[in-house]
Amino acid sequence: MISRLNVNKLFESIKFRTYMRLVTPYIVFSVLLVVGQIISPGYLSPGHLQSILVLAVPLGLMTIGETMVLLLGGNEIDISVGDQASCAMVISALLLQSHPLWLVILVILAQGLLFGALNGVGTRYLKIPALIMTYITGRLLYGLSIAITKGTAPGIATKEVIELSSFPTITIIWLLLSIVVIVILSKTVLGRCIYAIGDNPIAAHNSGIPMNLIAVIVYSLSGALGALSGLFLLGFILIPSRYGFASGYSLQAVVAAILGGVSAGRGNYIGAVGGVLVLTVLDSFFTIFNIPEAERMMLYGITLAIILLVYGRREKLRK
Amino acid sequence: MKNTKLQLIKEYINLKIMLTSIGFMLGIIILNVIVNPRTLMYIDSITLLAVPLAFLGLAELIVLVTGEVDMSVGAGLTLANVVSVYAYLYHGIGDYRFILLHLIIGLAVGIVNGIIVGLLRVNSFLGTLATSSIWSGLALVILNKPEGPIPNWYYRLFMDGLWGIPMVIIGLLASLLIWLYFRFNKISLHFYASGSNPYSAFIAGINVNLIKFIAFTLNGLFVGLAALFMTGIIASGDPKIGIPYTLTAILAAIIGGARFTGGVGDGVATICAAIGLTFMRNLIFSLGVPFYQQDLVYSAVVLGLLAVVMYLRGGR
Repeated sequence: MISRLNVNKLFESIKFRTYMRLVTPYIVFSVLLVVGQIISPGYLSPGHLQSILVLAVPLGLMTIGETMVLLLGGNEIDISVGDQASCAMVISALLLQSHPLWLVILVILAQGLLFGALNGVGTRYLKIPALIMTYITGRLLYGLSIAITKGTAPGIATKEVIELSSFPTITIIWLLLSIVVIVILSKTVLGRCIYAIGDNPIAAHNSGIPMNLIAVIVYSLSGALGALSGLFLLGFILIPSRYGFASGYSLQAVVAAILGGVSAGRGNYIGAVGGVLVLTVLDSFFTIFNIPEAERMMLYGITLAIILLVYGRREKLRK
Repeated sequence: MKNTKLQLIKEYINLKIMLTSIGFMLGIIILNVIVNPRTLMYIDSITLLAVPLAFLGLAELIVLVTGEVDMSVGAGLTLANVVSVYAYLYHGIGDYRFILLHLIIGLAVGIVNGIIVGLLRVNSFLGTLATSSIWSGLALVILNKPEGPIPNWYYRLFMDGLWGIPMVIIGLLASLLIWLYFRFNKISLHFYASGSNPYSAFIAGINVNLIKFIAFTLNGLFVGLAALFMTGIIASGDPKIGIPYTLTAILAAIIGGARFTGGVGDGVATICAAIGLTFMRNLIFSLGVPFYQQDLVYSAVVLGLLAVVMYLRGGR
């Protein structure tokens, strides 16, 4: 009787739940890797694992921003990160033809910060719901990339960019940024304020946290990271073949963060990395089996639904 | 008895929401006519384009009222459109069943969403995102490119109207009447109660999860109706027609007073917002903005107007 009680307590304790939220995506990731090895031998070879670590980076960077935005709670969400990346791809391809790389990085970071701040101002000061506000910002960025190129091909990636977005460099950048964001979230004032707002906005407001300012900062960072991942994507595909190339990443970043156990004031980026890895491996499965776009969308939806059924459900009202 | 009914009507109409939304619609239409007086000649065909959006806005609204969101209305519309046209082209189903098929597919899509979100208690944003992906993929599997035509009598219906009444008027009246019938029905109170505070609603004896299921079922019915009009307008089956409609529908519902926290929102205002948004596209077009700047200008104008509407209404 006593031992059963203890087991129940263990399962219900908040610490255990938090721990499980972090570990679950990694368990799913390992299971998928093993399944991959069984289906297609050579899946676990160093070369392939390396390519997963490279392909995951753009989504990983976008998920950093998405994690911080989702931690704020209160229906905050950023579905413009993918469009930030698409626009940054076009702008950097255009500027790389005649300007040095550091200037291009500064310009796209400015683009990300500016439109990210617009998201923050719109949701917080104009009180437009975040889903709609960030969607409109995404459309603005899409329109901007068409307007500045006037529909012509903007240019091609240079050697520097390709080197920047190949194996050791790009993964090291992701690792460094991950460590920075984990430290920011757990050790700094900004991070604690983000958790406080997400956990209880009224208490946060009453204890004098500048909620609107912090939301604007978080949205700006999210935009800047989205824009930066656009530069890496340009290094992957060399020519921005169409406008809005990376738009699909926005929703993937949301899914990755939520799979990693992020919700208002709960979870952190370590879990979200697991979510990113799961999505990247799923994508590589579809490529291995050479599944066409339409079936790929269906399978993606079905997988997402199954994962959600396992652990994305509301609590019962009857307690 | 009469007195209480009058009170009910007064309580049901939120003047702030109604006025901003009607102002939004009229303002844009008037601006449109000033910029390009010839708009008056095409006013019926532009409004016809707003009918699917109005139905989708209502579909979104009815779910937003219960505190959930549906990211799959555009994909649901696409699926209903594609399946019906496929059935006509390859199986010769071209009589009244052509209309029925739209509604059945719409309902089926809604019921699946309702089971996932309402009964299985999955987070609605992600759950409907998953189904949206499934419907879009399925639509592409069924028809991998736009195909036509649709049955001739159905096409004539949109050209000549039903018994001489243009389809615009039928569509708008239908959306209005269905919404008002729902709103003045007792069950709508359960929807609003579940949205504004699910726990209190549960304590008061409302089966909140069942209400969410019914909300998604009704949502599916509206999606089917939207698809019916969309098929008539484009006169073909297009596996990519619905993609941009999802968030525009949410936008219409938001201008119609809905909030993501649930419990508020008005259908008449949503229909007005849908008409306003459609005319806005036309306005940008007639202002003579260069092609490659249209997206930029359109989203900037939407953002500006949305800010004004939100400011006038006050508070989230």
